Amino acid sequence: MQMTDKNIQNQQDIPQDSVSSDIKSLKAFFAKLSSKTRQVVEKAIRFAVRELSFLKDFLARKSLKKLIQAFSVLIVLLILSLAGLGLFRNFQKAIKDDKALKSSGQVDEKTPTPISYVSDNPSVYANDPFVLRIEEDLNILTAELTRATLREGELLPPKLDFGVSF
Amino acid sequence: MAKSYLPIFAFLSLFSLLLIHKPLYAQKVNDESFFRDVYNQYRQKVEEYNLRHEDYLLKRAQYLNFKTLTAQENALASTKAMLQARDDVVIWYFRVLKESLKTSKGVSGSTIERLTSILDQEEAWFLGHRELLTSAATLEDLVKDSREAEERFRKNDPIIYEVLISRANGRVLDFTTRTDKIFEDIKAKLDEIRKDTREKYSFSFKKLALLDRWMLESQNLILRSKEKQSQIDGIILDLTKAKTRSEAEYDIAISTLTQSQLYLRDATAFLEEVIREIKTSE
Repeated sequence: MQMTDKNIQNQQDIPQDSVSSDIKSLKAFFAKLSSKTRQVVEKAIRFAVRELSFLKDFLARKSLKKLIQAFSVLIVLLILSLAGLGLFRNFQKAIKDDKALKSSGQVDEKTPTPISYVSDNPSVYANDPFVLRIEEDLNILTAELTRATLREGELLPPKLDFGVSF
Repeated sequence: MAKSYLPIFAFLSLFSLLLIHKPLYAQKVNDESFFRDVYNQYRQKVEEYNLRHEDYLLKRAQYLNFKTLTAQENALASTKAMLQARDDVVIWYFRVLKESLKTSKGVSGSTIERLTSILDQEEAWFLGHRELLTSAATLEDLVKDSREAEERFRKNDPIIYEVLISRANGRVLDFTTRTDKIFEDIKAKLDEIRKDTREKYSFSFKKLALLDRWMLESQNLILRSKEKQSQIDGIILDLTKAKTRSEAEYDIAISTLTQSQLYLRDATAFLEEVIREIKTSE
């Protein structure tokens, strides 16, 4: 007991230098920080638990299923509208190209497709692949010969005013 | 739930891809598409020229009426703009002709190369002329520049009409080649039938005689068509020697080629009858 009192006395007698005071203040700071951090972490955990329970309740509800369904319908509608837009653009381009071709004289007015001849008394050559190929080539050629217009009015030289005078 | 939606999504994605995709055809389709683009740009240049020309006519009239310095400056600016727009039209017209040659059927590679080379030179001249216009300071300079362009453009008449005739001739030549091929195929088939002695496979003498007559008619019509086509070379020769008016020669060439086309149409009608008879039993 006497020894302990002496030790305490000795410790009190030790002069307090700057390093020890710094260590003391650092210890106090960390102690304070750890308690604050603990508080913040605890608060965060409490918040997370509260939010998770809310999410759990929300997921359990039927409204989410409806939301997913609505979202899916929206995606489907989006894809359909994109497809429709693409189709519309292609259609517009086709009309434009067709007009340009017609105006350049490359393609003439459309004519009805001729109905291929079907005999009521067919020969053995009626289904001959060679004969059928010739017939097909001939039908295409005849259609082109009937439609083709050789005069290309739109490719004639432009009408320009060269009579510039003052 | 996800599994049930997956095929629908896959189908819709594929469907939309099919609709939105750009067609990937052969080079010919790309050439034709490019030709259409060039042609549309040429039409735009023509529209721009028409606007500039109207403005030029107005400013010219104002200058001739009032003879003021402001009117003169306005006339100078509008004339310059009109002449530049006119050169643009000519430049783009030559481009259209060059692209039209690339999309032509039946025109030989050497003809395309020769005509394209000439058109390139002419396009380069008009590009240079267009640049030169910016330095014109007086109305007299512009009148002189305009006359130069006029002379150059008029000189190109034979080349322009040669391109147009070559295109039309190429189309008829393509029709003729295809008709010849079909004619030869039918002839080969008839020879095969003639040699076949099996029952049902052979035709009677009467039927074969009828088919031969139609083949002969068709052959004669093809020959007449070719005779008409042979006249086109002479017309093109006259054009290159600039013996006659190019536009009149073009009309004659188109009329001749149309007759040739009609002969081919009649020839194919006979060939159709032959095919019909081959497919019909006696």
